Amino acid sequence: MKNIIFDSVSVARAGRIIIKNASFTIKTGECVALYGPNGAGKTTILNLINGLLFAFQGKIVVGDTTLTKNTALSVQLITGYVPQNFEVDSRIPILAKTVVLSGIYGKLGLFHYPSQQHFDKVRKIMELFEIGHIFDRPFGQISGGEKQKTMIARAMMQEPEILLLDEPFSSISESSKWKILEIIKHWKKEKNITILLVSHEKQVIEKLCNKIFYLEEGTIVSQESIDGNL
Amino acid sequence: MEIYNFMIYSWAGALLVGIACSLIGVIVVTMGISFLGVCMSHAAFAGALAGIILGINPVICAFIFCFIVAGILGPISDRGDIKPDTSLGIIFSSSLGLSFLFLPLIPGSKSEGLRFLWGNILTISNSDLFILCAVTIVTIGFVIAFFKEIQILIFNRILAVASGIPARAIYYLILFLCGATITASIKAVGGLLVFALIVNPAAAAYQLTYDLKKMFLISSIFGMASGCLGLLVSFWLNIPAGAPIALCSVIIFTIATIFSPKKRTVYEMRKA
Repeated sequence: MKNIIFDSVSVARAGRIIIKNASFTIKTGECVALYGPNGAGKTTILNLINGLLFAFQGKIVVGDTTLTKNTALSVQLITGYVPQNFEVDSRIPILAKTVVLSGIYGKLGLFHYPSQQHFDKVRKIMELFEIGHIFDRPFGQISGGEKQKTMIARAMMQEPEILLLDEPFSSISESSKWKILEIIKHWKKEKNITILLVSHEKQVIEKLCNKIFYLEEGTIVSQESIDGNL
Repeated sequence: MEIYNFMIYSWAGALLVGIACSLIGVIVVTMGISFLGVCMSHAAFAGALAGIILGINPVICAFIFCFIVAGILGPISDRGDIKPDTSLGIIFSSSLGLSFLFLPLIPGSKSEGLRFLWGNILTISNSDLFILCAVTIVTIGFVIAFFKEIQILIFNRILAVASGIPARAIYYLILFLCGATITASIKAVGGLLVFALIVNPAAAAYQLTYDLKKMFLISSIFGMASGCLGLLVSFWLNIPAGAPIALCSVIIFTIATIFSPKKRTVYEMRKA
């Protein structure tokens, strides 16, 4: 069981409080959408779970682990992360297949190298996301939608128990978006993973999630359950 | 026999400096921290001058200064309060200030101090070559052992942390290795010009390939070519080798940029 518990969590950056006294529990297998205006603290909550940021007050527990700088690594290894607006130099010497493959680098550990089976799995996942044609293409040279699909494929490659999606469909075409949502739904059911989704698209949220947290100025102002999904 | 040894040392030095600097160059260029090379080379120069003044081995002192700089830069970039280029600029100006402070304090002739500024590959000793060889082997070993971690660090440092990669430790290792490479190369090519060998071969290779493994390989070849061609020019014109080595690397970069297939791709993308 990998429940996520926020207990009176507050976070400040650059002298400004961006999360105020947040308390909630997300059970294993739930999909929760974080919804609210820009700057409400949605991405910050993802970064807190991922161990990229730390609270100055309160505690965050993931499974049996209370998140601190020393314990973050164990949570990072089971957490897939799809960041928003992912931009890189168009000439960067990294291929799309390498980006997907890098999903398992953390789990592989130091001094262990990916095998042929890993590359086969990368190809399979990329074909599932209909990006098999960019397998050997430079990441900087692919379209915004292909980049987002690659990043979701990367998270899938990691086989996470928790999946953090930060505006993952903003550049993906309508037809591809619903296909990917179906893949994620199927994957969620099969593996019983916990998902946190940041999105401004109500349709996407209703399709994937069973709970919505409404955020305003760093505070969860209300929660709503969505029936009939998953 | 003496002449034979000095020739062997020079050629071996040119090859080793070329490999070590260009490998570490690939990492700093692709991570967008090329200025780290300038910063470290000036810290090494200031350290060497401090060593001369204090009567300690200048190379050891240069190592210490570079490691101090790496030890300061790492935590600063982790905290994220100051932009990396700003912190590099502040440390660069401090190193330069210290160098100008130390240079007049050298008793007697300043030529020993200036030797570390300009460098001379023709005068490297057996022990210099040994240090260069050790640093080159460590650099190659580091790139092979941590290749996949370097890949993801180059791609995105935050994503590397989020994936459970010990990104901070590897970043610190990169900083220390950059310092060690520059210090080991400073006697051969000088504190001013070693930066050229860090950035130019890697920047040239960056123009030619999207494959990181190939980029390391091409950069090493360009680094060795710059070292050897520069040495030939220095024999031919009877001048210190640092300047021709740096200029050869600039010429290689210019040619690579002119014939870069990436330039065409980016142009086509913009046109589309």
